[in-house]
Amino acid sequence: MSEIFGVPFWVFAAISLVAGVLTWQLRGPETVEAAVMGDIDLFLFLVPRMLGGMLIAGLVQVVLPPEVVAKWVGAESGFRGLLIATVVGALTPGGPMTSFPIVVAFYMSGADRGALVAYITAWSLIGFQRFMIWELPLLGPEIALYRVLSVFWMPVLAGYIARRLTIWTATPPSEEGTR
Amino acid sequence: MKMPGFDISLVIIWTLVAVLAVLAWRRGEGRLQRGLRRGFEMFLVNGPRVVVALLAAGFLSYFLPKDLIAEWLGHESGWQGILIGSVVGPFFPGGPLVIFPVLVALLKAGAGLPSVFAFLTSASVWGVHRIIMFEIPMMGPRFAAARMIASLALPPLSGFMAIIVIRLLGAPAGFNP
Repeated sequence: MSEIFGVPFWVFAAISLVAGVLTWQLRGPETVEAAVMGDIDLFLFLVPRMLGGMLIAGLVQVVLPPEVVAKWVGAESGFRGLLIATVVGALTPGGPMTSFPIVVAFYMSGADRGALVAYITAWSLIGFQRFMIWELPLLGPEIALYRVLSVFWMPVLAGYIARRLTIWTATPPSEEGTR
Repeated sequence: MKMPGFDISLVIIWTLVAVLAVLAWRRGEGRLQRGLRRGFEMFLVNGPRVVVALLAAGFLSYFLPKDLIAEWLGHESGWQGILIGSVVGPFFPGGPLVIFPVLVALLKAGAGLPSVFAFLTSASVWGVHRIIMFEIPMMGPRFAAARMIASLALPPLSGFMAIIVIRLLGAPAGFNP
């Protein structure tokens, strides 16, 4: 598994090394020790949560494969379409490499444009996978709850606004070849 | 010092793992094994990155100008902090691996929830590298433009919602861990 120690790992390793040396030079070794001890606590806290979060992400992908998800939004429209797109977007696991192909699939299966925007907004803003892997463990349940309460309704709003905009009409480049 | 602490988030996470494992097992065809393997692989790939990312964030938080952050992004900073968070967010590349360690460092340095929520929302819905790498190539510039306009107000709205939620529920007891 060469991905484990790929470019992102070495970039962050280099940054932390430089920052660590700077901290040692400017703040003294005690500060470095305090920072590393704090991080060890943080990792002990994080490992059981991140492992669980990633198992959830892996299991969701086999229980709810993207093809099944695409059928749900299909040609759905109206307020209900926005709501479904929001829920499905929040449940879509993975990074942009998973979600954008799904957006294109939705478009081709006739999904309304507002639903596409609601879907992308939900995936990026209240994505369940990101919530489980990053937000809940790192920010803690209270801050995570406050944030969900603040933003959960926004994908529907963005979808509604997008539906009212009139600058749509162009065909997505990824679809042109299929016509 | 908070030890690995057994709290509600741990219970929720592992209950969900159990529920999904049962669902995957009942649907058969090796789904359970595939799902678990995918999860473990994700953990193996991301785990070491997270360790070094958080290490970097931990050291960098010593160099963040705490007074300035508290003044500009603290809870008292009001609409100014929200505006700064909204404007800065889109330019952080690299997804959650970069964003969340930055958030932790900002919160440690005294940033308030309104500016932090505005920052997270703008990084999420306006993330420049994702728009350039995925959205424009796959959905076209018009779609991307329309979506960006439709989500223009979301980052500041997140900040103001944070103020409202804090007013309704009280300030959160602090962040974990």
